Amino acid sequence: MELKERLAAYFDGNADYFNVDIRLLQYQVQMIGLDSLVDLPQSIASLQTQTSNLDHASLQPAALLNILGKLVEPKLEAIVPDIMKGNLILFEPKSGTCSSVLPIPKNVTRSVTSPETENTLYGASSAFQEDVDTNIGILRKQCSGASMQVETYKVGKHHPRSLFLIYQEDRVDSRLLRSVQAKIKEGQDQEVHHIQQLGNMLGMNPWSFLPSFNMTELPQNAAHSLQQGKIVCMIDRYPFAIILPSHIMDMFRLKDDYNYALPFMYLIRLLRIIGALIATIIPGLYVALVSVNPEVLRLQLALSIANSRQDVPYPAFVETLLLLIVLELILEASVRLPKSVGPTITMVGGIILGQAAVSAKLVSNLLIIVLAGTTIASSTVVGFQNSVTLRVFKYVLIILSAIYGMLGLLAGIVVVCAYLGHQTSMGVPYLSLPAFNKKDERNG
Amino acid sequence: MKKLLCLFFIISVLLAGCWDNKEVQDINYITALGIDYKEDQYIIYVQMLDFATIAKQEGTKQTETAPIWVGRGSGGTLSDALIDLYTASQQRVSWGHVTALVLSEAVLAPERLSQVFDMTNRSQEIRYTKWVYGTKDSMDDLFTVSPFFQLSPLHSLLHEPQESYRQFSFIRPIQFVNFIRLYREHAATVVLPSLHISTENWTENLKQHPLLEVNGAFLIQHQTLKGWMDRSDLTGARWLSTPETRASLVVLSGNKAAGSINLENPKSAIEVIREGKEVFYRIKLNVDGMVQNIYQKKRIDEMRRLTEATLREEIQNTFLKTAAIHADPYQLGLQLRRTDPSLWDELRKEKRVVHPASLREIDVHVSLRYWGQRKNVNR
Repeated sequence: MELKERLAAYFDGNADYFNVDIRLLQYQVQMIGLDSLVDLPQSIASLQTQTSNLDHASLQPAALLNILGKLVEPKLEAIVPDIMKGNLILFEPKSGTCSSVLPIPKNVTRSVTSPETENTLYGASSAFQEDVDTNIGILRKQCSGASMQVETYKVGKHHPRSLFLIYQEDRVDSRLLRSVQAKIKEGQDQEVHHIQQLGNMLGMNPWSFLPSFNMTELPQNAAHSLQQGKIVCMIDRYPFAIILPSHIMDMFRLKDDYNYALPFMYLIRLLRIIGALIATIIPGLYVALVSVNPEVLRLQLALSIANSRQDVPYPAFVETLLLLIVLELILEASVRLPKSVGPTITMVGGIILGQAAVSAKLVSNLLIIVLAGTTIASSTVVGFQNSVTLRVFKYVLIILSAIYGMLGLLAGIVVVCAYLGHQTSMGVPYLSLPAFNKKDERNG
Repeated sequence: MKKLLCLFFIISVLLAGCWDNKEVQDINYITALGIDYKEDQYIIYVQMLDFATIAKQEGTKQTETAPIWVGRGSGGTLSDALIDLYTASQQRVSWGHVTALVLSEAVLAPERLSQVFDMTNRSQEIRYTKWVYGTKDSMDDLFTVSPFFQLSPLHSLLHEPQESYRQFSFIRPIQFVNFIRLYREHAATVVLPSLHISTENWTENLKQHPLLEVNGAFLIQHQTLKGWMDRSDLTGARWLSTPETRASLVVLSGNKAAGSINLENPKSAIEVIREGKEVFYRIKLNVDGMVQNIYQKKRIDEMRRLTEATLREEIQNTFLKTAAIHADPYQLGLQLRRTDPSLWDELRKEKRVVHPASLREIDVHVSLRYWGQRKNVNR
């Protein structure tokens, strides 16, 4: 069968497949590609302008096609991946030469916009987007030094994607780099469509409660971690830079902080640390103090809490869990909802539900204060994935506090610390303080 | 096997612990404990407060007096009295918030006091930081007295004596830790403030309102009660007890009042003077003063000299009164024991550690810092 028929058969179910004949110089050439990815009229026009300047008579078809693009073997297996990538195939049937040409693409990506998930106060406000080449371009502009390296890997068998490994040669820890490279080469056949699959490929524990990567939408953050000697991964069609390895301090540090005066930078970071502590400890403390160890409270406070809980029928543990689950629901709902409906849910959930729950004596006044504070505090840490982690640890402490009171709370804190100490991210302990590279500018 | 271990671990965590513990609102908190001894019977009084007394609602002012519940149990021993008290207890009782312990005069005998301490200290529930008082009044009444404006009794002298002491000091309130420290020390004297109900000073809607006051103190030396003394006889002791003391003094010139000086921040030191077998003491005292009133025109130096003289008089007076019953609120004997224990031991046998002549010198220095906003009397 001829190549033309075989291709037609292969792309039978695809409406956007085209195969048109055009004339380039004296040759009849077939143009093959996908309509959805290639801007056809513009590409034809550009090809014809390119060829019109050439010297016709002596040019052989192979030489012509080589000028226009890259020669490929005229076989189905060789051509199809190029077509899927969005390239244009030129085929000259008489001599049987075939070439893959970079066409003028249809624009299927949004332009560079301001970030959606991370806000910057003082700092560049362009964000990564789906097109990985643009992303690397943005990143190159942030990292103007010469030492930035970009390695490309093709991963996945059925739906191949490009995975980019970016690092600064003079900053990166070579052991870390080698282990990441080895892991990627080993798992090149695995599909990588989302973060879990990437984690699997890099051999991370899928059941870990800690974020194994830090993700950022902001180019300056990615550039900053490159300078710190970390590795940045980018996947095509994924608008986030994935930073390896992740540390405890990534919860509290942000490139943006350096744009404040030094004392304010430290104060802001201190605030984030306090926020993380409040978010994990306070709900457990409430349960422990109210239901197990009221003698720890000052008498005035104990009586005041007792008064506000006088008609509440549930034990503090049930009461806290009840309201916490409602809060988690509100949080989850407002992430999913479109921006126009979100505020309504927040208002209904936060104000009306909270007020009603108190006046119906289902929960005490103090608990509303405690949980509202907790929810706000858990959002002060950098990165949404980190605040999810805090949300989980909170429940461990609540359960232990309900069983053992203050003792349980303290034991729970020890357990959480031990767990944090046990975790590693790409062989780097999670609790290690980032002194990756001695040449580094201060990590802060 | 691993799963079994896991299951075992989870079950053991969940089954142990305090799941069935009472919530904060299901507990009766005892706030004060009183112990009396009458006709071979120990009587225990406890004070409990309504939750509503402390949690003030916004907007609504409390018009009724906060309810105060007083429990009473009696028996041949303290345990019997406790058991008697528990018989009619309706809910779980928490002893973790006892902030005051009141002892009647009859309990201050060493053998009874040691039983009381055993009861309050053997369990870990009652704290060591409660305030300790003696009293000659009836405990029922003491515990029921409420402070001004229907406030919670927690704002009364019984539970919160320090604020009023810092503003105007008479007899220093004592916490249990300090009480037991001095009580067991051979050379020290405990000044145990005694509570009294006073109806003379304040009226509520023209009706006399009973309020707590400290009207004097019991002096206990080495576990033996030396006697009770009126507040006015003990005023000298406040200047040597703590730098927190603050009080005003009416300065006399001749027998007429020359003015009144507010004194604060006293810093004192005791010096032991040995002369052969005899021991004398010298008290050094530095106080800051502020002029409050002036009735006679005096120069600054003169005023200071008069203040120092009055203060010296006050300290001397208290010393003489207490030395007569061999009590020692200035802890002079303690200072001697610390510097020369063997000499103290000798003198103690002869009961000559402190006697009316042993206070050799009172070296008072007042620095008059502030003359007030007026310069003169007649302006």
